[in-house]
Amino acid sequence: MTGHDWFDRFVAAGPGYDGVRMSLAEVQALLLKAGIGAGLPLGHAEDFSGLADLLASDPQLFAMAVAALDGPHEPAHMEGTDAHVVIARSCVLMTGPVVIDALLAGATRVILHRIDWPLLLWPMLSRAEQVYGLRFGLVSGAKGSVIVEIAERGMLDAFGDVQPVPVQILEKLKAFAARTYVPASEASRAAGAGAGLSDND
Amino acid sequence: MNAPLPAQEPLRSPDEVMRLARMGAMFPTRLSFLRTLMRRLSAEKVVVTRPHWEMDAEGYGHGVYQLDLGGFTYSLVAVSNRLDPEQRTDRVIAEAWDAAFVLYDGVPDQSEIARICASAPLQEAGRFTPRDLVLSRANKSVRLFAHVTSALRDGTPVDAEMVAQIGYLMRTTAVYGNGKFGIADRSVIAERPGLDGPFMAEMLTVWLIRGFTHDLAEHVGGAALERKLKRHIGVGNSTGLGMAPFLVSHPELLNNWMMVRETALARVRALPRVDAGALLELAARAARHLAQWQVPDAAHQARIERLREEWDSLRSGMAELLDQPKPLDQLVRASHVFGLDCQELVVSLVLEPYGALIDGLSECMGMAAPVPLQPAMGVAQLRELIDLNFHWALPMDFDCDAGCAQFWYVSEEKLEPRLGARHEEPGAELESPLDIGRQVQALSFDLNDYEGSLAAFLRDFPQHRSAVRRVQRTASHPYAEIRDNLIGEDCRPIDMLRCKLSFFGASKFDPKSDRWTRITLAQGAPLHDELAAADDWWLPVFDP
Repeated sequence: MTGHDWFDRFVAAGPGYDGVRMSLAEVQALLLKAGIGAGLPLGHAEDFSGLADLLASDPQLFAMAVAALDGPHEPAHMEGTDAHVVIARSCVLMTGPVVIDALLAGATRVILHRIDWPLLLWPMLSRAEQVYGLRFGLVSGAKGSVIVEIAERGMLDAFGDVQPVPVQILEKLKAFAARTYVPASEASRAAGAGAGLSDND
Repeated sequence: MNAPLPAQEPLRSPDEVMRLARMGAMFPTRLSFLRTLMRRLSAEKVVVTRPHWEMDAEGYGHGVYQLDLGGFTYSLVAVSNRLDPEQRTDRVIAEAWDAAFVLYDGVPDQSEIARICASAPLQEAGRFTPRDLVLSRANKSVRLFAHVTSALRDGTPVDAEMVAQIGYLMRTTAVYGNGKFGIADRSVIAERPGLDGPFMAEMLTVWLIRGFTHDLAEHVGGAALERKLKRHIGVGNSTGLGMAPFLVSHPELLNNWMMVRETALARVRALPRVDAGALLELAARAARHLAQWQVPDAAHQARIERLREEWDSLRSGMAELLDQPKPLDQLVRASHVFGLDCQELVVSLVLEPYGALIDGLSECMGMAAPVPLQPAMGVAQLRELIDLNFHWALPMDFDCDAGCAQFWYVSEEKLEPRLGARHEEPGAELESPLDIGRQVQALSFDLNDYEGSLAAFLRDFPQHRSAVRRVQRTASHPYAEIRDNLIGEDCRPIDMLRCKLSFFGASKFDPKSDRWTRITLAQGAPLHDELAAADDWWLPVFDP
């Protein structure tokens, strides 16, 4: 049990879900809005939306990402040294980019204790491999910790083709995204887009 | 062996070019996307056919146009419907249109044509497939369409004055690409010859639609339109706020467009001598184009009239200027005594005769991979980049009423970008992040006393991650940012629209407010069967 009832039901229902075929541009745009709506800082929401193709290739991973949007999205607190970083407790959507930053800035190993949704580090690191040309390893440590290291072999090839987006996931994302929308008013209808009412010429 | 790059003068600074007022004065050039597309179609000797045409006598039904480009076949499926005049609105809130279109990847069979005929009229309310590359819709210019079809039916002359005044039989109100509503992602065509440049699929769609509007009028009228008239009938377009945030959310692309345009200008400014005759002829054509550019909006009409006067004044000394060394550099410098409209028209003019020198640059206008965040960059270097490329934002007062008078948002009703008055309307707490200057100013403030690494800064100040990315990008993409306050009371979205539309190749800007405009696309462009003579239609003039 994860504490997210819908996620547990989604996983328990197995692979036969109802899905909607979406373009990657649609998924990406929705992830960005959902990330902002969920309270992620803009830059983290941008990183999140950049995972669109990887998340859309694996419905369970996608569901985890949406569950992770629930937050809370607290900044990561680091300890250790520049080379060996330790993060005591964190949420993955805030910590993942910070872990990658640390590795790109010279750290060779990052140990994460008590991170929520640790599997989401997989698409994040895979994307970083693709963008930066480095290779990362992701292994389990003691007492549920996770270790990320610079490695010889990467993990990007493990992702498959994009799948239809499960309806449950889509509805969750739309709900997060809707938190960024401004309801219409008479003033906004009249002036917000600045157009006239009828255009018969 | 690589050929040496052509000589060039220094590029105009982003501080000069990336200002809203100047962007809002831009004109189409030979590097505009429609021009590039026409050259490509011409070079490939593309032939457009119309394998299906099932229209009733009133012009309702569907047609299919087909062409081969770069080893692929594309089809435009055009659907014409009866529309109640009360439903005819150009706003994105409309739910019905006179015509709907899909640019299809390949040759649609009967079942695919039937699917598109059913789904295309639904537009945003429909779902589409990866075989559908572009989705669009258009409304008739009722006045011109009715007049032209009536004249053709009666065998009386078409009123050339009305053609000149309106300029289109239909105007599109949206041209959707890149995955919208389930259509193909841009990546599907990004590597295809002919469609690999920015907005090429959309421009191809617009050009095919223009031919469809001619065919539809001839079908309903029962006679052929004069070729000269058809050449001057383009496609109208209504563009609103939805297009404006694109320039902010695609900074690499904006940079590449502007960088190419500025590089082209720098190259022609370095030419030691030029053929003055060709330039003087084009300048005269531009003057006639300006004389035919009439808009109902009094303020914009006054702007056009000032431009006409300044253009005439510039032309009076142009022959002398063009007789000097580096004549185009002289001409550009001389234009600085005039307004921005005149200065930017000069830019457009001096590029026009030099295709051999600059057309190849259009291949650099597409989107490469986004510039990634560099967390290993030193904080000092980041500060230097802010000073170099965002100095304009640092002194701005974003707290005063005028400095933050407006806010961008997405409307719940139509999921479209809107612009609100912060101090009068609710919703500012949900504003979209187009306040780039304010974001970078806040970053600069927190960066001032910071002594750690950038990676640590990003961990301690996650709210600045996006701004850091934008600042870093300007190291390699100096034209990536609009250097103005996009939430200030002086921000006019129409300036952003005109910039983007000029890159499309639009002319005859006809602003209806400071946030939407009508334009004409493909006016003067070759017809479907005229691609052999494809490239001389800069600022077209109508001589009935």
